[in-house]
Amino acid sequence: MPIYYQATTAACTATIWLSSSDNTTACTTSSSTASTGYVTWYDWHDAANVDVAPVVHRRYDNYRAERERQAAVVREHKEPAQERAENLLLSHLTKQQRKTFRKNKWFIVEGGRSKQKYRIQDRGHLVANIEALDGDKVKHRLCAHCDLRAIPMGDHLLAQKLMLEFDEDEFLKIANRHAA
Amino acid sequence: MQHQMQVMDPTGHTQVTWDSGDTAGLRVARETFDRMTGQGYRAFRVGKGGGQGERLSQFDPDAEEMILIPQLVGG
Repeated sequence: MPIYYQATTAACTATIWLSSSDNTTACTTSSSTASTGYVTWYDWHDAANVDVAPVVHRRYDNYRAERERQAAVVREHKEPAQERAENLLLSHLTKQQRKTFRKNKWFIVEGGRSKQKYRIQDRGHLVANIEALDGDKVKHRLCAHCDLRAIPMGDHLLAQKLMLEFDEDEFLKIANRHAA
Repeated sequence: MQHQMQVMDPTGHTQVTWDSGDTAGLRVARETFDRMTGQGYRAFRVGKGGGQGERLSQFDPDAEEMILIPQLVGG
């Protein structure tokens, strides 16, 4: 859920939302000289040199500290965590899914409501890693995942599987659709 | 019967277990469930080997296994 902040300066009245996923903000300005567009929160924060309300600093610091804490835990436990996550994933795959995942790093699930077939892939990243299939053809790709630094890859794949199987409509509402 | 709940986190997952009749363990599991779902986690009752499952809106003390996943966002 986004966190909303309001910051006002002589040059810029900005409404900022801090996404928990990508730290992207939108800055809508009231100044005719200022531009309107998307910047990262970090860039804006560093470059604007504005007197942002203390609550913004505090919430941003808390947010950054939590992200750094999570990243540190992932780094510290990276190999065991990856292994634990993959083992949990494998224990919830069917025999056929385990076979294709071990061989090709993907497995196919069936949408719980639509019965649409989806291929969930481990490509080392999570950008549009789900393919909606029509037979062997890819109709489109879907992209929705948990916080990239919060959990290991195996957990992301299992989370996607559970959502598609048992809460497909909600997943489709969240996911961005990309061309095949 | 042993029940378990896996909560996804940076270590892979944290496992909470309790036995039928273990009221203290059950309380810890219920509190963990409520805390994490309050933070936006989604809960699923699952079966091993890709079996049946369902989305849960509240704690199920009879579930053999539950998995809690963090919020998802579109990418």
